Amino acid sequence: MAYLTKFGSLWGAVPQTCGRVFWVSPTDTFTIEGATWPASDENDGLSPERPLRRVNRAWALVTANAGDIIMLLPGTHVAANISAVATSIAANVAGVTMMGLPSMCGGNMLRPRASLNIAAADETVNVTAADIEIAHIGFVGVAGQTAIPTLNYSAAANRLYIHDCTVDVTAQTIDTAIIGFDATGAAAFVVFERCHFITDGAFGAMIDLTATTDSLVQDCVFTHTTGSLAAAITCGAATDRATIRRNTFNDGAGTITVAVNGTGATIAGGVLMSYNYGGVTTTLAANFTAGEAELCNNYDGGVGAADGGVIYTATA
Amino acid sequence: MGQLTKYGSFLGNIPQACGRVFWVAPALSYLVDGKYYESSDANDGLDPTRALRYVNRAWALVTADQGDVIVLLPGTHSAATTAGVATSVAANVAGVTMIGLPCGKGNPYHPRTTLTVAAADQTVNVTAADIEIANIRFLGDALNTASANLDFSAAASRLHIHDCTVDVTAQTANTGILGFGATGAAANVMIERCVFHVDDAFGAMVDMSATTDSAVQDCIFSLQTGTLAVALLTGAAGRLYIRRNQFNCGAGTITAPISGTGATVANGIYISMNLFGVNSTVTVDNFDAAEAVLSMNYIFTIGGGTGGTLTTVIT
Repeated sequence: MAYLTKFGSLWGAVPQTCGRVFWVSPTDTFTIEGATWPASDENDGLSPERPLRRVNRAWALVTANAGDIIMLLPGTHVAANISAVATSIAANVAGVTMMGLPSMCGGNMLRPRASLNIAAADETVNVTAADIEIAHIGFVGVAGQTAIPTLNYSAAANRLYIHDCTVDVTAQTIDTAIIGFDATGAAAFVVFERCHFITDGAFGAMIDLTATTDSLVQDCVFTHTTGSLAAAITCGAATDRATIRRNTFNDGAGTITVAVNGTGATIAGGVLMSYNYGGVTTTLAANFTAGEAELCNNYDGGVGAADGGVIYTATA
Repeated sequence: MGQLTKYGSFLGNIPQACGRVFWVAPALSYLVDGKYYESSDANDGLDPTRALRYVNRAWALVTADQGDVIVLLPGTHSAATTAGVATSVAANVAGVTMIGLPCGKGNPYHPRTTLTVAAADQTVNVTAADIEIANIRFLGDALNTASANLDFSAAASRLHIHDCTVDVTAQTANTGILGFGATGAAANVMIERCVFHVDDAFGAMVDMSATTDSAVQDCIFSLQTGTLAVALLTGAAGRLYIRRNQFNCGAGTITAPISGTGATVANGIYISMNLFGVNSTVTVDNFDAAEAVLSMNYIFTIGGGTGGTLTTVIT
């Protein structure tokens, strides 16, 4: 098929790469330019006309550090093996980019068109290799996904880059063990950018940076609709040189008790926060001992005829 | 020209250009679209399946001011001659763009394409005008004991470096090791969205001495430990804009994040919207009165502080 449209524009938004592109369909058939094509894990996946059926299969086909891309066609993808048994996606091949297919203008970061979940009490994705990029995917938790992070990343996940994604846990049973992106080891140079997190009760943190070094969280929106969220971001032991900036913590009709929680933090000057904007009831930074967190120009929200925003000064 | 893929996009992060695209592989054997190819400096380099072996060779093939682009495939590239002898990359052809291939948007802290030189020499010498360098991680080699990672001469006017990183943490600390260092009075130099990783008493990561009408913006200077005397040296620059940068001190101290040692031009340096870590000794230092103009620069504070202190003093 032609991959340039008859209007002269480009079909899809595949990143420029020297690697292969593996296409994955969210359903058994997929319609492209009016024609319906069957998806199968027996396909090679190298064309949108012969997409794979499961994301898991794509990860089994990619080559490390060769610029390979896994492209999730729009719709709801369910992590599973070839036999359709719910299984976490093992993102264990270094240098792979996994992304949803955005619109030509880059996609709506508040709700990507491709979503990904797992119908089991397990993580949707386990990242255990370096140089992985994940973008334009809505991680929308389902009720069967209990007491487990949506995505976790190990010490091997150096240089993980997640951007333009959402995490929505509002369909899940409230549990503090449900975390958005969870560090399980001391990864370095991890970046979370332009992500949107939606919570509605006492869940766990949406981003955990424990033990990471030289990491960055910027331009994210944390939307909390109701209930009480203890922490939106956690920085634990050995979190070092983390920069958290330009994020918005919206507490809606509920409360975000602490936007950035430093319980367990150990490194002096390990976390720098700037230009973050908290909700009316939110404490920006808590449970840091003196010197572990540095603040600059972070403001809370003012209501109605109130102050228009007050600078955060306290870190403990 | 760039290669049109079956997906309608261009193979490689190729800027729109009217020139040729020279592809460079980081190793003798490399993968493109699932197939292995052999790189060689005897190739023409004009197709990703006929990549050159060394960046240096690509610079010997490009034509000045014709929109030529050098694309570095992901991996670690070592600057060397065709015979494999470590040698600086001579970026001496005007109007050339040299970029790494991010294979996605690319992690801003750590590009997938690395460039280094295993010698006591600069990785890149820029000595021509209108050169653009992007999406490359400059990794200092331990053998580079006292040289800048990249230097640019007076001829390097309109140099544009963006979305790059410099990492000197594998090198032995020496104040002769700079990130990007000016060696002459280049004009209209732009350095933006770059990240600098430092862990001891190195030289300035950006030296803009004698440049004119230039800018350093949206960069992060990340000191891990030790004492860094200067992160950004202005020298006798004129009409230099330093804005929206962040200077992180980590467990160390940056004595003067922005230093004006050698500054001579009244109102020569405009410094705005920069953020400085708590362990910055004097944020804007070594200027005489009126050489630097400040607006909305803040110092981080720790528990019980003001939540950000406006920088008002130039010393």
